[in-house]
Amino acid sequence: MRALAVLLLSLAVLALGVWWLRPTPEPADGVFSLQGLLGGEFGEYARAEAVRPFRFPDDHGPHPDFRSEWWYVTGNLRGPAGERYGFQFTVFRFAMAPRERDGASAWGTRQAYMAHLAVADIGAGRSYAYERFARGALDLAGAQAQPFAVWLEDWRLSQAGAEPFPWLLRAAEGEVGLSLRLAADKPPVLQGEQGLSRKGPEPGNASYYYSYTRMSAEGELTVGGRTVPVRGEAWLDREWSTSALSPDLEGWDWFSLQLEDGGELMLYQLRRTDGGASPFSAATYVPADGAPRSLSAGEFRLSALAHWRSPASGARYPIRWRVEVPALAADLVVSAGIPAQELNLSVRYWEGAVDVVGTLGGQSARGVGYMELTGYGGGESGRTPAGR
Amino acid sequence: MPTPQIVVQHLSKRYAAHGRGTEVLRGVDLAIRRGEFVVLLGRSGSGKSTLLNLLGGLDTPSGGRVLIEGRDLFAQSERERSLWRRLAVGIVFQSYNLIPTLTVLENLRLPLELLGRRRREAAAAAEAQLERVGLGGYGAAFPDQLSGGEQQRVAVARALIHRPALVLADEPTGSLDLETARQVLALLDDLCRSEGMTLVMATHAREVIGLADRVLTLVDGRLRESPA
Amino acid sequence: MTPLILRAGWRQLTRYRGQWLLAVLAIALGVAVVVAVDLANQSALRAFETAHEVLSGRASHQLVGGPEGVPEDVYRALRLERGVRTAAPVVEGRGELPALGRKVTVLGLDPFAEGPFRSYASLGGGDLAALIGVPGTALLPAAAIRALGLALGDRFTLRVGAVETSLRLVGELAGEEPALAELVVVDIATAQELLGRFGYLSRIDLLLGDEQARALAERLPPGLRLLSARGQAEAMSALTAAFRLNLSALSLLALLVGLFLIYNTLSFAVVRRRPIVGTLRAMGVTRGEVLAGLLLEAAALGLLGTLVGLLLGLPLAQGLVRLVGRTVEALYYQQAVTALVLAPASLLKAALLGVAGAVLAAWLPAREAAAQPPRAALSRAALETGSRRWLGRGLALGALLMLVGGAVLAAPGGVTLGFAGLFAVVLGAALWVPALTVALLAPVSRLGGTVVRLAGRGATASLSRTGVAVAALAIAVSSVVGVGAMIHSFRGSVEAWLKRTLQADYYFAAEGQGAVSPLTPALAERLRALPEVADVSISRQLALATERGPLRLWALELGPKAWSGFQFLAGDPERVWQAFHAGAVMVSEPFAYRHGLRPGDALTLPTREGPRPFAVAGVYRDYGSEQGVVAMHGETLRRWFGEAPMTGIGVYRRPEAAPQALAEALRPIAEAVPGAQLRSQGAILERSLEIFDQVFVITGVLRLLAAAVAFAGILAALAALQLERAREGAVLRALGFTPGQQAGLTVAQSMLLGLAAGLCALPIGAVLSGVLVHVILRRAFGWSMEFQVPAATLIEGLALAVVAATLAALYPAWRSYRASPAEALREEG
Repeated sequence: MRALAVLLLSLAVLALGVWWLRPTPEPADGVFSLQGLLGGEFGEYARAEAVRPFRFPDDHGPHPDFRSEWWYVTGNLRGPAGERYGFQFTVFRFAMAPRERDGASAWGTRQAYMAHLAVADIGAGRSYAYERFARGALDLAGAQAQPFAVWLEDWRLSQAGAEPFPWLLRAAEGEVGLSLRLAADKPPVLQGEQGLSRKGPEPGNASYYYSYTRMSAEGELTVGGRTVPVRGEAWLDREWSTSALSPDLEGWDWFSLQLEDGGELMLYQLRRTDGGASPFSAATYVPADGAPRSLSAGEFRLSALAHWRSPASGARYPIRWRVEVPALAADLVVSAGIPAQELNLSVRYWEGAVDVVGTLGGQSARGVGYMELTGYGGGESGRTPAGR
Repeated sequence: MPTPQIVVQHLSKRYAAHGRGTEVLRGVDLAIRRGEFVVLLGRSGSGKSTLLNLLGGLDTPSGGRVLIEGRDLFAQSERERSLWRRLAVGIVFQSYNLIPTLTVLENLRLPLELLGRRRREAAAAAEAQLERVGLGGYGAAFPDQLSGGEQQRVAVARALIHRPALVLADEPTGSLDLETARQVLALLDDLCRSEGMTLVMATHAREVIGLADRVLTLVDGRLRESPA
Repeated sequence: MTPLILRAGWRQLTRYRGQWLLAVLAIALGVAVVVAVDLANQSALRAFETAHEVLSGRASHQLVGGPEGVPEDVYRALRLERGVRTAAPVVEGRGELPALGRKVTVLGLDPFAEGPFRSYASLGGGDLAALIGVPGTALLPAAAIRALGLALGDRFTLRVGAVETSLRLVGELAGEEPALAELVVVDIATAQELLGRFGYLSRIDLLLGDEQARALAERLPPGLRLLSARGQAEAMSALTAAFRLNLSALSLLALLVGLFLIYNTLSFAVVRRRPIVGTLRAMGVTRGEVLAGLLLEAAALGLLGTLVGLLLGLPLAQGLVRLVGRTVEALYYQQAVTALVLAPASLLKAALLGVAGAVLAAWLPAREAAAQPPRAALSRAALETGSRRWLGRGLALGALLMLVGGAVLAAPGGVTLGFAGLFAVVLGAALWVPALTVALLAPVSRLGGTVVRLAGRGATASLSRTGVAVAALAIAVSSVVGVGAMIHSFRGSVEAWLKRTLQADYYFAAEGQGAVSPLTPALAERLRALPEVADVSISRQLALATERGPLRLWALELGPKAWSGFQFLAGDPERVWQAFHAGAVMVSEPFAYRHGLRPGDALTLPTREGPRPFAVAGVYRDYGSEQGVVAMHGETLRRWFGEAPMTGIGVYRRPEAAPQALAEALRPIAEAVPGAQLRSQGAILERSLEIFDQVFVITGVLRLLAAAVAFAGILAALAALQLERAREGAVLRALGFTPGQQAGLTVAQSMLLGLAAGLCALPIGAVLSGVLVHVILRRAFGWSMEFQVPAATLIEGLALAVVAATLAALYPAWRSYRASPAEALREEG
């Protein structure tokens, strides 16, 4: 039966050959890497090296010579039946080159914009997050001081009238939409040392940072196809810098807490890879009336009480914290409104509405706020573009 | 005593088969005079055909010599042997071996035309030869339209048409019935003797012995002479 | 079935190794040609698809505009006001990498908008920031980076039109698709700057649902059109469909020849087996067992031949792909096909063909052999009688096939049907070849000396063995003759057309495809003012993207001197020109053919004010574009389509001016206009014919391949025949044939067969070329042409047949020269 054996063998070889020659499927593609957007050496950009005077409304506008900058609005809202919502709207600006781009094309620009829109429907236990990119040209995206506006396509944060405030926030995508009027209830708070917020020991490893810690918000919110009137309180963070997270840091935990007594507490802790907190962690307490008070790393302690693992990314986030500030006689527990407030976008992080209960200055205290957790679950994308 | 026409000296032939050689002829010595009728007997595979092929220069020996009129047959080139065969040899095979694509007449013309005879002349000679073997009128037929006996008569006619000095017949009656065989043998003997041609015939047919001048038997690759 | 039967067959194979090898060779060659052409075709198609994919990405629709493109504000409005998220702006143009001498597509993209579209624009380790934020930066495919010897950060030169720009390499395109190899990807701003295309986009790629698309289409800004990408891709592949069909047809020809050969070789092998079969049957082996054994053997041979054929086919395909690429580039101005795509379907098809072909080819003779009564080893004579009957049947069947084929050709239909008819005719003619051979060789067999007759009769008698091989040779040669005559006719017509069309003495042409042409009205006026110049003509070419592929518009402003350059196939010239100046259009012959237009008909074109009918004034001869061209007056274009860049200026010499003087007057002007190319009438003619010849290189190669397959078949048939005739040869040797004469006889017989095949091939070839010119080319390209069969081609064909047959006989002749007659006599003795 040799002939038959040869036949079978040849068939097998043929089949193998065909299988081997079959074209391999193309590897799946991904979105471009965000790191790729950050171009050039630090030294060529402007840096936050010294205390500077802040001028408003000019500083609401962009600072194009710094490598990164953001307009960060977070807030807690309530619907007509008292149902709770959280929202986040952020526009990031990145300079891709230290110098202006020459060239005659209207498309030419060195500024790239990224924006995130997130809404948490606390009652329904769901959250939504969207992301956009655009170049800072052809009016596709941009920022300006007077009249104030920052936008990415039809997502827009801008002043409503001739006066610097109130602002309007309009953004919609997918299942969510925001249309809010934001009034500045308090003057801006300069964070850190008169607005210079150090992130590390090196000069220039710092940002310029100011906040509007209490802005009353009123308007409409759409979620899951339903539009409801809402009101609540928002927080604006503005920060620009040319710096990166030091290599020994793996991420940070940031809190903006608005208490019912009219005071606000902002804390952030830069986590070292060895588990400790960086000495450049800092906090600011803004009493209901009176001057803000800066607190250094040694003056507060944050400890995680409970964790949640994201089914989407596998990252494990601490979603309940104990916040101790002895100098303020504060002992607070901060808990996520709902655990599922992860933003699984080009940049992955947890950002969401929180509840606060505890004591402050010897009295019981309650409030709401926003919490940001980055650098969890390892992986490449656990960091926002630059140190906050 | 006249010099023999053919002298065979220590002729041997070995066939390579499956690595081991088979020695078919082991030093055959033989002399054949002109006009002699020699019959070769022997069992199947005794080497009769081999000896005939060597005598006709159709094969080359492993050792020994064949002298034709004193000239060493195998010292000549293949081409010279072919030309000699064309001129001086006629071969009759057991299986007739007529060219199937040529008519009977054309088969007969072929040896003459090979010798450069004019076509008309060759045609006339072929007609005459066909008459002599009793097949006049069959000239236009193709070989496969004839019976075995008729085909062999044509083969004999073709082998002798150019009056070769040497006629080799390899079991010419092997495929024929007794009666036809006798006719063919008679024809062959008659034609050869009338023209004085030497005839060497390998055969099993005992009845030939009576016609032959000499009877040789091949045993174990060697010749043994038996009385005629 | 006992394995012993197989073993007997196997021994037979090993014993006649040469014959066996030739059978494998015949199958291998047939399979190799088919698989190579099929792969080359697949590669061409795939290259088109990937080129389209690479350029359009996953877009479902494209928004296109008029000559200038799409205003870039439309894109912003789309995003900001209409909320269309899945939209990507594209600025595209042609350039060249002078260092590689390679034309490239300059693709300007907005990486931020690319996410859903083109995956290769994603950047692993590249410097996206520099690509967008720094002018003069680019991405190249890995292959080009290697070829240029660049590292990231290095500079290279890109030429667009006449302008050379130094670009910095900031990243590598992700992916290895061959179509990427022709790309230079830049930021959209850089693209506008390189191509000088400010304010406009080439198009906007969109990813839309049907509903969205409908909504968008209803509210389009004026002058813009929304095209479905699927339609575009289909138009692209339809563009080359005719070309690929032609290649396929040629490969089928090779296949036909190959199948003939497989049949020939295997039937021969089976016939040789008859005595064994007879004996086996006598021993009680059943018919079915005999049949199965023989078929299994054929399958094994087929499989082996197929494997060898696939191995041979791959390098062959590699070579063909290059040729196809060159042709495609010359014909369609598309990116070259450089990479071989190993389509499993092609390989499987060829494999099936080899094995199934072998089994089928063995089926008839095997069944016949199995059916023979036990121990009745048929005599040759009986076989020949049988083959005579076969000749008669062949004549009848051949006549039927030719009639059917002729009817199919006479009836209206597409290219495929045309080829079907052609194949029927050729196959029918092939069936006549053995009978014709007998007739042609009859005088040789009847006249002359016996030796000559022997050769003639031998050739005729062998037809039961060689008939199919001779027919195959005849077909191969007829295809050589037919395609040769077709190309001759084609070339002659093109040359005549070019000579007529090229009326101006000199032409200025714009290099590249920038939006801004170096040729300007001012330049035209300056040329007109030269004392040596009698007149100038101005032409603008424009490709409007439509659902059915690009629509070529040709706007002309020409004086009466240029009018005689148009040969009208329909329409009275006087009136055509009158109407032309009044706003009517003229269409080229292929265009008229494709759209069924006649003078007086109306042709609706997408103007910037929406679709509008234009009167067709005339149909003119044109071999420049197989898709066809719509010619209109420059004013007509301006009025309805907008301004298009000037692509050519023709300069007509005053009769009294010396040619030399004109040349000297033009040279400094040409040198002063960068990007303008000055060419003389003669140079253009020469270059055009050069391109023409290049296009047909592959045709020539395929013809030769068919001839090679036929050659192998003849060789196989002769070698086998010689094996069978060994005894006859020995008898001749016994009669006194010298070895040289014996070999000469073999060669002479083969030459006679070759001559007969060649003579049969001539009329078949003439018919073949007639059908190609009048039916196939007409249907495929819409071109009509003068049909000529040059004597040289006929002689060439005849010579090819004889030479092929003679060469094929050399090996068998050498074998017969060396054969020992004693050995041959001993066999079956």
